[in-house]
Amino acid sequence: MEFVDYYKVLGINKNATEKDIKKAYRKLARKYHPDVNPNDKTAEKKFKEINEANEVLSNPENRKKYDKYGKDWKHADEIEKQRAQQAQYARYAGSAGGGNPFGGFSGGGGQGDYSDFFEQMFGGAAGGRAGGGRRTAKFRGQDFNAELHLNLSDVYKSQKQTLTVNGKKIRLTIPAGVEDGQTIKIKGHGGKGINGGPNGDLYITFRIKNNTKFKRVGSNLYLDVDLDLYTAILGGEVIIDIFGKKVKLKVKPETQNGTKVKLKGKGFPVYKKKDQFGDLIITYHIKIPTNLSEEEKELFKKLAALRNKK
Amino acid sequence: MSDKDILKLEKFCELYEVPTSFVDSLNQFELIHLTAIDDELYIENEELPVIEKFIRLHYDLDINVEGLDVINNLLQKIDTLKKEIIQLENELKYYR
Repeated sequence: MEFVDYYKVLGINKNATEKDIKKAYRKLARKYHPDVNPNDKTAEKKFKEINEANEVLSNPENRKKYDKYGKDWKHADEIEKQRAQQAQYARYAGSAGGGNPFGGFSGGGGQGDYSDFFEQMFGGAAGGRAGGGRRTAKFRGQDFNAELHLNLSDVYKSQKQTLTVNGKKIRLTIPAGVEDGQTIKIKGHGGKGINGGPNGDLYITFRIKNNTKFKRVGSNLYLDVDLDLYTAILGGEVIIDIFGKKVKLKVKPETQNGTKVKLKGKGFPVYKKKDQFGDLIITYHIKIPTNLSEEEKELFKKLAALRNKK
Repeated sequence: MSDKDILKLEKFCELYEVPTSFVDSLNQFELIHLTAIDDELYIENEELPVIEKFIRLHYDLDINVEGLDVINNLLQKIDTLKKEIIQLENELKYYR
């Protein structure tokens, strides 16, 4: 574990009084408290750091040990004991020194970014206290964040999925119409609470990949449809597949290139609004025929002549 | 609403070790909603995470109820803005 300068974390100097520590802690805690910075990993990390610093420095005995032993402060008693033993040994052996009094201690001990001490206090959680008051040591479990990658076609209908989070299976209903980047909270499925505190929550952010020919804006869908010249001029029908449902659409005669047609209620489902759908906006793109035969060219010439007579 | 969905205010305060007056102030500031049944006040289970958050802010950071009201309003604004950003980002994708 890296040495953390708790004074630096709280922005105070080594001569700071208890009042200074409390003041500095309060100021930083207000800024970085997870409840005022929801889903902010940086604030969460910072809050852990300032809490750890405060827990150590606000306790005069711990502070004294920290000032003396730095990162090994938690092992102060053991170090003292070993020093005493070594001093005794040196006296018996008739020589002083000869050994590292700190031998046998690796310092820190925790594998993560924070000390065991802090892990004990907060369980690696950012949640802070639930149950209220300084009287209880109940801690809310850590909030978990996860990403779920889905295709746009998957979220056209509500669907059930089973996720495995930290070895636990969670059955989840994903409502139709969920947006890319949208986050939902599943209460109580985060880290386990400590000392009877409530569990944290699980936040799932949806990442939705568009695997369709549609473009989606909110619950509206946009689609470019190619029309052959003759259907555009004479009118006709086109069939559009909307997520497995075929919709027959009449094309008016003399439809111009770029014409937009709105199909009300044929778009994407509105999130959590049963039987409500956005609109489908179709833009026609007229395709001019290529590789014309001589006969076709003649006919077009005739058509052009007819048009010029008008 | 079944009995499982509500918790008596007195019981809540006992479990969470908070004075009734604090929860009452939250209610007066309309930060939470208490349900009255036969002259008894109850908290709906759905409200629990919200009250827990206010308790933490109050006891961890010494924020009074007026401050909680301000924070709550600002957090709601942030939430609305975040949703707006997501929506705008999604709309931008249409033009990319």
